[in-house]
Amino acid sequence: MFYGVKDLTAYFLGIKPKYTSLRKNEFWALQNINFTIYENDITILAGINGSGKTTLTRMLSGIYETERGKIKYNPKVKRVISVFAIKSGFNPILTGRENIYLKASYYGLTKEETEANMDFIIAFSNLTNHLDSPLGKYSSGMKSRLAMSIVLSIKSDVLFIDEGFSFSDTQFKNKCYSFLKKQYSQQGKTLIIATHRLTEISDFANRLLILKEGQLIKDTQDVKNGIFKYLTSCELNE
Amino acid sequence: MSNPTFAFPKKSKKFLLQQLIKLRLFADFKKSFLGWLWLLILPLFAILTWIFMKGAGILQPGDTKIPYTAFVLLSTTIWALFYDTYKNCSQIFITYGKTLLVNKLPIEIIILNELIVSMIKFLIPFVFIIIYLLFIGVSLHPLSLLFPLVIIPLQLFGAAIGLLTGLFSAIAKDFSLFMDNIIKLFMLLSPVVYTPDISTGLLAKVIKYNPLTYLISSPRNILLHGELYQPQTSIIYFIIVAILFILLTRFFVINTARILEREGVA
Repeated sequence: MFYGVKDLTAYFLGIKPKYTSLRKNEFWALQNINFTIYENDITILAGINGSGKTTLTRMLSGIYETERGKIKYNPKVKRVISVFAIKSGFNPILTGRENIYLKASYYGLTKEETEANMDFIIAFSNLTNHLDSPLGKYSSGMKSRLAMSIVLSIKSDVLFIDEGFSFSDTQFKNKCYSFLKKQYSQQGKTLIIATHRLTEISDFANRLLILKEGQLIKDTQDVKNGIFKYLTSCELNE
Repeated sequence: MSNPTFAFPKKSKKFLLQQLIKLRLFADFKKSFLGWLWLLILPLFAILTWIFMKGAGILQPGDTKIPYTAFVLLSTTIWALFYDTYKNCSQIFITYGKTLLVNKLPIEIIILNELIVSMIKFLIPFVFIIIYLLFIGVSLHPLSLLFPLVIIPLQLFGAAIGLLTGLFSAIAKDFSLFMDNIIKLFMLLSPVVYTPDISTGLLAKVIKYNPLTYLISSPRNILLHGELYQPQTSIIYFIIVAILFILLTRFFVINTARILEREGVA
């Protein structure tokens, strides 16, 4: 708290705080990370809780700034969509349909684009009969279905999904995986999924990145073997 | 991080703004029996308090030129625009924190949304007050058409203080607790329920150097008398407030990502 006030006051006064090393109780959330993701890559970002998956994904999607280092995108990348806490941004008082407009606006869609996607969202979520009910009456799974359908309706060049399938039933999850595989394999796009459910997507991922304590400890294209070794080492550590 | 990939599509900003306005107005009134009527009821409660104080002789408001009820009704509504804008802007991290942590939204649109919502909430009771003023025989000066222009600096001042408070209180709540109470105190130290011509020692000095004196009295005067309150000083304050708002908005936009990353949200 003290550093926060001190730094903000300095910025307010037009002074850039100067410190070359970490201060007491500070830590690097990510450090010495260097990798390139190519088009057609479907990448799994793995690591235990607190390893830096969400921080890295937020940096890649521009929500957090990098203190040091650079993130470069190929200029032909036009739209990056990132999904964190899949159900966040919904409002329980508004209906499912109203929430589609709201959530789509957060993803940078226009009204026309949202309306063009509406049929897909309704069909994919299979919530036709509930769409005009307040979202507060939806079950957790129904909200996830709606949220994921909105995301999948958007044509993005790069899609980040951070633990997006935690609340979905197996049937819907498989439907999403199958859709993602079709949309992001060999289509010149990129998909990055940060997850603990490694085996669920190992079939269609072609890249595995493993983070540990904010550092990249594994970058491999041998996804199945990489997951096997990672899970074995996790068990051994336990 | 100036990669254009991160820029929110310009063509989508209008749609986002519409959705945010709808959300903010819905959230406040959708689950209420009286709904929008609360915008009238709340100022009425405040007015009754001031009328009681004047009736009991506690308050000497000075020569208000128009019936005190009308004066206080108009002034407290003008004050409410300032206070609501301050409050909304100071709570941006509370209202939108979780959304900002998961979406790369344009902060300037969120600030604009707060200004528009505060203005809408001001305009509804304001229209009723104008009708009431005309009903009791108070005539409005033709130059009152300039009122929308003259009220904006007051709102920008509320926003500027709110944005600064919002940033610091995202780190430590003490700032918002402190500022909330300072602002409440300033309602008494500004000519809201009395005229600025009051001359009682220390209060007269506070009124003279308090920017709110000019930012509140000028829109009220333009409406009732067709002139700014102490025009030269008022215009200087208008310019200062506009510059302050631009600088603090920029400061807020630049620091939002840093605050979210370092402090998270409550």
